[in-house]
Amino acid sequence: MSNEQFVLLVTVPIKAGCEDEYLALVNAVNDEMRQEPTFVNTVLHRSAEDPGLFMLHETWRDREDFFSVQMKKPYRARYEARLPDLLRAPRELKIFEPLRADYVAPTVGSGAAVPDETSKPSPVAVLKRFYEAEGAYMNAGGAGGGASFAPLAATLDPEVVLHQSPDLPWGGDFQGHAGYENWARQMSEAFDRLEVKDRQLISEGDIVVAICRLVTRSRSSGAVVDAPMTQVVTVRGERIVEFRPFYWNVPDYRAAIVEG
Amino acid sequence: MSNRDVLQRFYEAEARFMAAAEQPDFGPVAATLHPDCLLYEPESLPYGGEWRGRDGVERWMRLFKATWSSLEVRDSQVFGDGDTLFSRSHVYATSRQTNKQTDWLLLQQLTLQQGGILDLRPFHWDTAAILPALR
Repeated sequence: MSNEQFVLLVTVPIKAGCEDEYLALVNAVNDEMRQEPTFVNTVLHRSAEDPGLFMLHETWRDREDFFSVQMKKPYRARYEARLPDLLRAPRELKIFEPLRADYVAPTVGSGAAVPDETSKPSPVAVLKRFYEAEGAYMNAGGAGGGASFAPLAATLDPEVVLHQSPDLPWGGDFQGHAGYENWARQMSEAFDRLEVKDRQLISEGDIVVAICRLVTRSRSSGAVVDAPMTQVVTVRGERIVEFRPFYWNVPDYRAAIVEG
Repeated sequence: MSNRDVLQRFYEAEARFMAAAEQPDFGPVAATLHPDCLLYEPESLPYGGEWRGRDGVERWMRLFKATWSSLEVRDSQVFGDGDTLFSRSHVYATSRQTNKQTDWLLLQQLTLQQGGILDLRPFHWDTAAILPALR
C-alpha cells in the first residue's frame, strides 16, 4: 500500500428518466465501498441546474490499490455493466492530489465531506473485522495451538453469547470472552480442518446474516462434513453481542464426532 | 411486486394450505413459485431431500402436512432486499402421529427470480431435537 491519499472527481451525465435507477446503483456501490480499508470518504452530488448530472467526490488512501483492487470488486460489476446504457455522454474521471485542506467542525446534516474518524463502523464492517481476527487466530493454531485470543476478543462484547444447537457435540450457550474461547477450544479439539467457503453477508439494522459452506474434518473419525451453514449475528456499537449459527443437519456432526 | 411481497404471499398461501381440510388446493402456493424451484430439506427429517419444480414442492408440502397436524409461525422477520432473502421465525408444531408438541427456530434462505421463489433452503435450529416429537 502506498498510503498516498488522492481524490477522484467523477462526473456522470445520466439520461432523463434514468436518474432513480442510477441512484439505486451508485448507492449500492457506496454502501459496500465505504467498508474498504483504503476508503476515506465520498460525497455524491447532484447538479443544482441539471438533475441528471451527478458528481462523485471520493477520497482514497492508495491509488494503486484503487485501480488494481477496488475497481475490480464484484459489487461494482452491476454498476459498471449497467452504466453505459444510462449515460447520455461519457463519464469523466479526474484524479487530484491534496495540497491543502481546511474544514469547519462538522455539524449534523452538514454533509459528509469531512472524514469522520469517530463515526461508528457498520455491523457488516464489525463482522468482517471479527472474521479477519478469527482467520488470524485459526492460522496461528487456534485455541489448541496457543494462539492469542486478544485480537479476537477485541471484536466481541464482554457479554457476548454464542448459541449452539444443543444436540451438536459442542452444543449449548457460551457466554463472555471465556465462554467463546472455551467453544473455540472444543472446535479445535473436534476438527483438524475447518474451512469456510463462499461467504455472503446480508445486513438489516444491527443484525447481519452470514451464509457460507462449512467444511469440517473430524479428528476422531476423519469424516468430512461439507454443508451449508448460516448464522445470525447481532452487533452493538463496535462489538458483537450474539451469534446464532444454524447448521444444516445436526446428526451429521454427531455421527462424525460422537460415533466416529 | 417486490421479492418481499412474493415471500409474504408464499407464507400466507402456505399457512392456508397447512390449516385447510384434507386435500387443499396447491394453486395459491404454486403461484408464488418459479417453475424451476428447488426446495432442500435436511436428510434427517421425514421430508428430507431435494424437491424439484412446483410438483416437487407440492409433494413436499403434502408430506409436511401429513407430518404436522398444526403449525404456527411466530415472530417472522425478513432480511435483505435483493434476490436473496433470509427469513427468521419461531415455529410451533404438533405431530400428527404422536400428538407431541415441539418448537424450533427457523432461518430460511430464499432466492427469487422473475417474481417467483427459485431456491428455498430452511435451516432448522436443531434437526436432532425435532425428531423425538415424531416418534
